[in-house]
Amino acid sequence: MEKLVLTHLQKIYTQNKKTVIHDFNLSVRDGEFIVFVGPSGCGKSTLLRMIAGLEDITSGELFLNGKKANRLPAKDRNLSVVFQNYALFPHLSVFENIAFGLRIRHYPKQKVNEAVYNAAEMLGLQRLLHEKPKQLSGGQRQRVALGRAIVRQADLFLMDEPLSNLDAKLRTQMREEILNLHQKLETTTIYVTHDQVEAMTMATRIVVLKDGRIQQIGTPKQIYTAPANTFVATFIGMPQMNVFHAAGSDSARWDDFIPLSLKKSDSYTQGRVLLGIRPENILVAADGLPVTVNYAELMGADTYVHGEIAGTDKQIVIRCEPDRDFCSGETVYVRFPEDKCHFFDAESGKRLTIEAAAYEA
Amino acid sequence: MRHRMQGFGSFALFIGVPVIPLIVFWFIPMFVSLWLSFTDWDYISPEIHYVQLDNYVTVLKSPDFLGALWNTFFFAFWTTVPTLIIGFLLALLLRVQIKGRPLFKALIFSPWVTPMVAMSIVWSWIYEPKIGLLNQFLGWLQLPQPEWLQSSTFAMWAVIIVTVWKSVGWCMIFYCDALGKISDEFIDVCKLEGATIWQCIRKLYLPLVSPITLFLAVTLIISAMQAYDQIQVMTQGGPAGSTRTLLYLYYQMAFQQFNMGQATAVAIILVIITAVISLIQFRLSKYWVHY
Ligand SMILES: Nc1ncnc2c1ncn2[C@@H]1O[C@H](COP(=O)(O)OP(=O)(O)OP(=O)(O)O)[C@@H](O)[C@H]1O
Ligand SMILES: [Mg+2]
Repeated sequence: MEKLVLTHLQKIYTQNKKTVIHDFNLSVRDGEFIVFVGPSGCGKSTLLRMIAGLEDITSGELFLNGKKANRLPAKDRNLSVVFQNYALFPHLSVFENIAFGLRIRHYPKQKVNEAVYNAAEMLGLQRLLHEKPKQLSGGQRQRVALGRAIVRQADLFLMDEPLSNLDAKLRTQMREEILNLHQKLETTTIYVTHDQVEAMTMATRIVVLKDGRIQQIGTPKQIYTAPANTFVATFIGMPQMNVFHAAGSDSARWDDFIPLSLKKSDSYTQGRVLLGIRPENILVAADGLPVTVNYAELMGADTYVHGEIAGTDKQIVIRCEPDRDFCSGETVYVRFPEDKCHFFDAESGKRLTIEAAAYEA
Repeated sequence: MRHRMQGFGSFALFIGVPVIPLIVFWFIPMFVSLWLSFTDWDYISPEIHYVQLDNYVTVLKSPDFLGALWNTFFFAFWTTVPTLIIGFLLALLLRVQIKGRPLFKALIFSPWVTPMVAMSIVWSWIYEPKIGLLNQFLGWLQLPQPEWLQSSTFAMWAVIIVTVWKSVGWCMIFYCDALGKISDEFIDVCKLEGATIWQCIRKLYLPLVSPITLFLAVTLIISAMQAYDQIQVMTQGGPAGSTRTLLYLYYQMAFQQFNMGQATAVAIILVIITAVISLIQFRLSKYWVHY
């Protein structure tokens, strides 16, 4: 069943008349974990706030459980929000913070206690119930914020960069906890982040945004293996995908030292193309495209080799096994496996479905 | 050794210099007053007698003192509480982004920067029973028109209104700042849960501005205890002592009746009461102030 459907959603802030969200379409099925990912300022929070009912919808429609809900007050949408800065009331204990919504809604005392203890148990907060937020660590505060979200048994969770204030290790741990929680409760969740690792690891589907426009919607695997355009291609993946200019077959030019044999295809007949290849897909071989090594970063499990294609200023990053040493100035030869190459229209950046041959010397 | 002397030198300089005026203008007068309160000095006679606690006993028994004590509490309560409430509500209103907000703020704040004496003079014209602005207005609304400053029932209220009017803007500025610091996320949480305005005020705004409330309450009470200008200009403690506060009683005893001993006793009692009230406020603040 469709939990949430957004059609042609648009947002213009009245203060500055700026269109922040353009024609946003999405439908979310029950139980999905949707991640909105995109660079800062692309409108992720704005979208989330429109779904929550904290921000007016300029145009377009929002359906909750099949009913149009553009003007439904936030409190009647049966959703809960986890904010980036936790929004825990400093003057209330952990217990009262979790119970806040229930108290506002005048739940009977017995029910409040029960619900809060259940939530606390699920999050391992039993022993902290009487502390004030100030006395808690970042991770504990985050858990209290989650507690406040789950206690009311809302049927949609909205989370706005809930982990961005935590350190790397805690972030990994909380990521897991949120996923566990999602598995246990199976509540539809929309999760906003600018961290691609969170997006890749948590989402059932990712929505990639840029400047208020959807770039691509898909499972993490789809996004990674078949990025819809150069933005998605370079945004997801660490280190970024290498993107080079190549020439179309009609012009029969070999551009920028990336020789390609481009077969004719319907979607692409002329003009320039971009070739994309992920660092981990590049093969270091005995012969092929010559690359001058600038420096190598040993990351532990693998090495990132930064260099440029010999004789040009085209930067390239190669990710390879850590057992080989690279020294600066050295020349290595690389090959691009054909099935790992991505092609994009140089003008629009859109993905092209053309086949290409790898470099052959 | 030289080092230590230097340390002492700068200590003496930075601590000692500010302490000198404190000693000259505050500690010494304080102790002299304390001493005077145990004597029967009358300003004129050359000899002074030590009278033990006589002044205090006389003062504490006198109906003038008890009346003034009551007036002081009455005045302090009815200036502090309305000032806090109105200041807070104005600040709350000003959260709404309206066009002339800065102007409105400046307007409400302006009484605070006007000298109390000047304001009191203007207000005594406003309070004028026949042609004064206030009674004109009340008459236009078909309401009773009391003789504000000439009636012992209304004079106190008249003085209170002026005092509240003066400090409300000051209070509002503090609350505006405190409310402005409340994160929007908190307000979003309230919206999401469907909290009413009253619930928001009670559960969010009031607790979060409580440190400011404590500060304002202490300051306002102390300044109410020390109110003098407005009383002097508008009522001189009258009619029939209805606006005579402890400080004004002190002034009358000391500089009209030249009864320095009893006057200083009143002053000392006033200082003690002020100190005790402040202390109680800080003690109680544990239970309602959230930092
Ligand atoms: N209240 C507002 N009034 C006017 N413009 C706003 C308002 N809130 C956000 N914007 C603008 O809308 C755009 C999107 O903002 P939004 O907060 O949704 O971005 P975001 O994707 O959440 O970014 P971040 O990752 O930094 O949180 C920004 O360009 C911002 O300047
Ligand atoms: Mg944001």
